[in-house]
Amino acid sequence: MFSSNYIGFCRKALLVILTGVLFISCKDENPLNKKVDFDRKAMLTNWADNIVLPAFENFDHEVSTLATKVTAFTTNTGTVNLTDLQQQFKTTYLAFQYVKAFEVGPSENVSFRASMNTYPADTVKITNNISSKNYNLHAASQLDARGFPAMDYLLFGNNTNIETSADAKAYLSALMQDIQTLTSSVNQNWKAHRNDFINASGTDIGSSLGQMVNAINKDYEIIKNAKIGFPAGKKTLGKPYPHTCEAYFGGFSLELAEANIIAIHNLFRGTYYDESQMGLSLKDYLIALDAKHNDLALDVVIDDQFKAALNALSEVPNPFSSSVVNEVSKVDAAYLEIQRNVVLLKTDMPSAMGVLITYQDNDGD
Amino acid sequence: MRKLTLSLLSIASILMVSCDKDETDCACSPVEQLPTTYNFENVDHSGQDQRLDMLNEVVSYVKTSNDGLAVDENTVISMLTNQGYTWTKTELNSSTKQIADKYSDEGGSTIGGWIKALEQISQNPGTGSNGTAGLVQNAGATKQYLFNDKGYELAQLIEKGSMGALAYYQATSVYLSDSKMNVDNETVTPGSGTVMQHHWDEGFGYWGVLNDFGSAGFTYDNTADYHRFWAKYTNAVNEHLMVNSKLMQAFIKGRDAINNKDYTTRDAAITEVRDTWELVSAAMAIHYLNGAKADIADDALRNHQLSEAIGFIWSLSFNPTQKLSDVQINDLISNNLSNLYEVSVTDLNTVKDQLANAYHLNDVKDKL
Repeated sequence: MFSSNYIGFCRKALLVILTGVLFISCKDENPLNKKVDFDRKAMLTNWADNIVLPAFENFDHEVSTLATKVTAFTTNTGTVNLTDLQQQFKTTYLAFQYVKAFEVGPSENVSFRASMNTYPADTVKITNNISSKNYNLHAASQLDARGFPAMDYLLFGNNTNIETSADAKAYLSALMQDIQTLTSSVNQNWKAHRNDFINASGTDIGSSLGQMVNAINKDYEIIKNAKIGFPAGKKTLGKPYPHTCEAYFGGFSLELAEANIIAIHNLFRGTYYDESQMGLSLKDYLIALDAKHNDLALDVVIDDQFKAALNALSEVPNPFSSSVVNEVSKVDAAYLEIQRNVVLLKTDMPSAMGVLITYQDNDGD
Repeated sequence: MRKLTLSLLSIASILMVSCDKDETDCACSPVEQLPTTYNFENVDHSGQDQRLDMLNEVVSYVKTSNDGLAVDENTVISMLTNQGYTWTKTELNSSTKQIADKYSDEGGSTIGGWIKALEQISQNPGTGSNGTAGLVQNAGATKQYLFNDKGYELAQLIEKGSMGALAYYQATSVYLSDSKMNVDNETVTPGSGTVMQHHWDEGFGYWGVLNDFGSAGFTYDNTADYHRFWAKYTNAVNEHLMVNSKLMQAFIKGRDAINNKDYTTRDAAITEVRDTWELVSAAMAIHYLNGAKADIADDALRNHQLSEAIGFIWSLSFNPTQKLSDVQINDLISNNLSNLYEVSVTDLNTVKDQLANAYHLNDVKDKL
């Protein structure tokens, strides 16, 4: 009893003395107070001018091209056949993979990703919408009857005869108009948002760095879970659910996943959208901070892990919906390599930068 | 008065000097100031409580296989994914929570395999024996279990495995990991605290105990709702390891440190939680190995207890600071417990001794 009080007193007394000492020695170890020679505003400028805005511009362009073809197809006024349409749909869906990670500012305002790409599509709901001529797709309950997944079903699904049914064509037009209106406005709003984006150059929660680090992490986890994990049964006791693949009917899920990873990898490296050169980005920031992971340079570890993920993914045969059943070990290997980057991007990188992960990842509660 | 002050001061300075020499961990929070219960403000682990309630019904259902009833894989999956299943505990029917997506990926996949296998062997089972799946009774014909052809009781593996791959995994590998601890600790949401506090509380929730568990005035009640899963088995080894209070104190220490934004102490508490919880699993494995040795000649009782032991050994792999590697854990099982009808006392002692060595349980290994 006595000895316990004795130690307690001792600890308290020492705490008072040590606090001052610790306070001084701790100061240098706080990443926020670390003086680093890095121009965050130049990084944000590179992101906006060379990556984000060009990616949106390109996506907007592809959407317009798709819209023109949809019009020609549905009105039989041109020479566009279903194969042409499917081709352009795939090109546009791929272009979307290069903007979907940037769910901040104008994109976040309209829940761009969820509006464009909630899957698996509810084919029963879509069929009902077609027969009841319901083209009002803005309710939350219509998210899985809208956007690319709904269009994937119309253009590639066997049960819908898009070539002969006027109602199905009308629904296709409605989907197209919805995608085009939304894309065009988000693209314009991003241009208007450019200066605000660049000027929010701190590291706090509202800063562009903080928001982008959160956004790319959230999107990367969507790749891991929705694109790969759910179809592969990673959340259902190993029982695969092939129909939950992105672009299930078109069968090009893996190409979309690859494009999505490349888009995030390119942002990490500062690679221009046109891939002509590289500018300042997260990689350079980590170098400036001298961030380490198990004594290795963190920027190199992350960069290598992106490559390992892409390599493993390239080993998985198309279509992904068959591979989750028939090529389990290759799918597992790809999932594992993708997963390995989560902790690096979500824990090591933000803590080196003093950025807080604030989004809810559905893991909680 | 002045004299008294002076002497106090001089005593203090002497004490501090001696403290400086002897107490290298003086910068830690004083242990004696910690609360004795988990009655903190803004604690909410209702999601964990609901999942344990769901798991309870899953376990009851899969154990009906021991009564000779068929278990349907799709029903178990509808329970674990909480899709289209009507729960006996009616509150659960409005729950949005599920178990399946909270399992560790690898763990969930293995458990999925056990569920599938259980469906197969539970259809019209005959009498089980070495090489043949089926029902086996103990010598007194008072107990009956459904074993696979190697003597594994799959219902036990599903239960103990879920304790490992769900609760223990979520607490030690997810909620107490950097990704859940390197989060906001400033903005208090009424009812659930800061994000960091909430994550800590959710980890605590998977233990499944009351707020005063392990405190001086606490008496364990084996008719209470908490008498299941980790609360039950922590208490089962408490007599020899004092883990009721030890694990509770570790959780309290961490929550208190988070409240005080003292992350050095929080990190020390994370280590204590992980180590103590791991110790419970290892000690329970030894407990069931002892039981199996005592019933070595009774196929039903031996295999049943060894299935429990295997579940606890397998669970050891879900702690990120596990003392035995995955390879060691796998070897322990596959080298010594691959066919429960054919095990020898030597096999069981080998496993027991390896566990006791790894977890420093040699002094109590025969009492557990």
